[in-house]
Amino acid sequence: MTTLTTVAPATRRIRSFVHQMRTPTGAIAVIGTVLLVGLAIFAPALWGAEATEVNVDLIAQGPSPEHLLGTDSAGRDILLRTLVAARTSLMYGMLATLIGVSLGVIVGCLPSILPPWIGRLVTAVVNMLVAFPALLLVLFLAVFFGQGATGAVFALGLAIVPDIARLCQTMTASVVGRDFVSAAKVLGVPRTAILFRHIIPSVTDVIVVNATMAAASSLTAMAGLSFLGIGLQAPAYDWGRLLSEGLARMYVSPAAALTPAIAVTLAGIVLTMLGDTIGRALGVTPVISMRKLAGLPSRSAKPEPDRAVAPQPENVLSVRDLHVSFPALGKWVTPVRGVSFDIARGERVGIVGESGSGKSLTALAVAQLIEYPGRVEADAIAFDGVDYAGMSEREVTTHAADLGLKMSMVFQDPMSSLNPSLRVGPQVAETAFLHGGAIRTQASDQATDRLAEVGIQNPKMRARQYPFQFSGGMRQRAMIAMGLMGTPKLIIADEPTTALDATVQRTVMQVLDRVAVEHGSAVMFISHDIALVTGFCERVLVMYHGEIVEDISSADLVAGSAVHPYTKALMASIPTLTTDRSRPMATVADFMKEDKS
Amino acid sequence: MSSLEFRNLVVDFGRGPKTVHAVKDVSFMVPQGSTVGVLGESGSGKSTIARVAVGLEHATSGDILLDGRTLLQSNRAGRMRRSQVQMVFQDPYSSLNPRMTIGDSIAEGLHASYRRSKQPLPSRRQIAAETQELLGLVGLDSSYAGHYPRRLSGGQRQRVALARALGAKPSVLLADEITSALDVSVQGTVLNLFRKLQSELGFTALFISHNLAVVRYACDYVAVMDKGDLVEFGPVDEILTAPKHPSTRALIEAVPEMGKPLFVPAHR
Repeated sequence: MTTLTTVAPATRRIRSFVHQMRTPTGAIAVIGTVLLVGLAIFAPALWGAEATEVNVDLIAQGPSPEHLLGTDSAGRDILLRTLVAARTSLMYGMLATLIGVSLGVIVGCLPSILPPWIGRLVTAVVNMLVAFPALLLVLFLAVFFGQGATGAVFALGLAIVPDIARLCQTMTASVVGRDFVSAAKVLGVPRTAILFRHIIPSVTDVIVVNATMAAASSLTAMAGLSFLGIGLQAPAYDWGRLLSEGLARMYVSPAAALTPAIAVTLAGIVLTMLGDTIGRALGVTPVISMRKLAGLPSRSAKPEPDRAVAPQPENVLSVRDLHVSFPALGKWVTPVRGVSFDIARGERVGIVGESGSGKSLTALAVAQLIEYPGRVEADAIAFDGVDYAGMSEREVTTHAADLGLKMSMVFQDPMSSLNPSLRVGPQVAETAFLHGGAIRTQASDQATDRLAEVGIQNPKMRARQYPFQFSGGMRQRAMIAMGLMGTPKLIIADEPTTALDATVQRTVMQVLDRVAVEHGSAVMFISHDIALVTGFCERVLVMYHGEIVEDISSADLVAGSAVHPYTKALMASIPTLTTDRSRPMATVADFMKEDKS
Repeated sequence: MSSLEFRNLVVDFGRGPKTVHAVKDVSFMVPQGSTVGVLGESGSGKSTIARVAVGLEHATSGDILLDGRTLLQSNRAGRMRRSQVQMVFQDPYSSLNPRMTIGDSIAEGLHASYRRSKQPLPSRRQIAAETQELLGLVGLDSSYAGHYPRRLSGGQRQRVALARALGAKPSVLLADEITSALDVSVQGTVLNLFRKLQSELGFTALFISHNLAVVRYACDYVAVMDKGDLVEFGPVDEILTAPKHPSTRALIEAVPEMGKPLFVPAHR
């Protein structure tokens, strides 16, 4: 039996919320909200009568011990009126939010259960309304409904609908596209059950956060409407009315206008902070907290055999005892632990390993691309004679031109590593322009040359196109071309062909091969496809759980001379065109079990 | 046990001059109890034919038949018949609802088989017992029923997805690239499980993949698709050792083979 314990999401959320309440924002938000709600509930009962009591003897008095903030034009206490008005202000704001959010969610979810053509119509109408300025919509609706609280609340509520509906639509559309909804459809789960079981729960978090934010803006907007005279009507009053009543005597007794204004502002801020806190607790707003983090575990002091060897200048890259760590759930995890290797000039080295084995992080660390809050520590990361280990970010920046021109990177997903809104040519040219000191026309001519070099037909025309007009293979070639703007001593290719078809993969690999030979570049080639790696590289590093467990020539690996049990197991678990079909496939788990026993 | 037949299936996406002809007149038969592999590059239409069979896409013309009866009716009878055909998806990280426990996800599959047989839904306890049984079938400990997907590895998630599909008691299982999102080291365990389940439960299977070695290992027959056309169909050994069609040949040659250089290296 496993000893895993299960924490239900509800429990996890409560814990997360309690955690967020301890942050300054969270504490202020929660205390503020409690105070606001408390005022709304109790203030009218406590001071309601006093606040409406007209006193002709005390008209427009300044602050005094009896009336801390003075009195208004009918001799009523300003502070008490402001406190009592919390109920109306809050209540009408909340009502408007409730109307707006409920209608918005209903309208937003409709397209996912209605027949497609009606769904599209609803979407189109909502999109049009989103483009319409909300303030105009409110004013129009307020006039339409007529003066008074009811009209104003409906106007505000309806004005929220398009935004919430739009949000709901985009969110549900993205959930509907996920496989678990497809699986439910295939199982014949009824549409409404899909909506309530799969779709709505996936969007509630974001809706709750946005509803809280919407409450903050409705509260202020309601005050605005009352201020303009189309909200609450006398004798009822909220902060907006108090503000408009007080404004006339702004220069005589500023407290009459400032007090309700401050109340509106504070309430708005508190509700916004509450939305932010809920967002953090639900994980909608990303949180990076470096506090309460134990110190980075120190690297082992014992010198490993290959760690002692000093980096040699004939190597283009020497890495010694590389560690990469990230903070996770209040402690440090170290996915790369003590990696040391060399790559000779012009050499091709493959790195293989499972997802999570640390191979990509190793490459990113070499390229100085591990971002905050990640930490890189090493005895040496020497690239082309410069040791980057222990350099501050600023020091690395002084070498940026060096890195940019001498090291090039090709990533797995060329669509996300090319900027979709810029033409391909200028993106390829950027390196030469930024680091090579070339002027723009020179750089773009050079880019066209490089695109031709990686086998892109009609490069002049292609350079003016956008990434989406390129096929996957062409984008990957454009990435390689980008690396060729300098004179790469090292090309780091991280799963460059994983997203591509086998035939396209072959052409991209051919380009990489030719380019590396012509420019004398070394290649660090990361892939999970061992046949591909051994067919392209001279040497293979096998990574397992953040460490290099095997450093072996491709020929030896293929010949079966691997020493480490993991490598052996990995090799045996790869299906080939000669695998014995009458027997179950060998798996890594089998091998590791044997090794342990 | 059932047979699945694709008969002159045509699938177009979009209308007018921008129409994409995803599947162009594809006909082949998946004999009962066998596994047919569908090989092809992205955009060849290999996933589309499976998605039409389970009702996730619509056929423009042609038919898909389960034991000679059409699967493409949109009425209740058609839907019920279609639920005998189940699908396992490529990405195990997207195919399980992160907010539902493993047990609830699998129960969704079980409900489908009760709906089809028009039996009243059994008690929670009965469903829980059957869920445990399915977990055991795919080699997962029964305690996983209470877990959420976030704690599971890719391979374990794919086992759960298999259990959910099997809960619907399918006579045909469509496996759409079920190992391609997994690590090589885990791929073998899922392939072994798939073969074990098939020999125990005897379902007919369509196994979609771009990986030749995987198709060879898991399948009896193979259908090769290229740009919406079915270019070759036959026993797996025959097709992979003596391909007749040029696009099959190109596909086989493009796959890197262990121990062989990728291509004649550029001059050094």
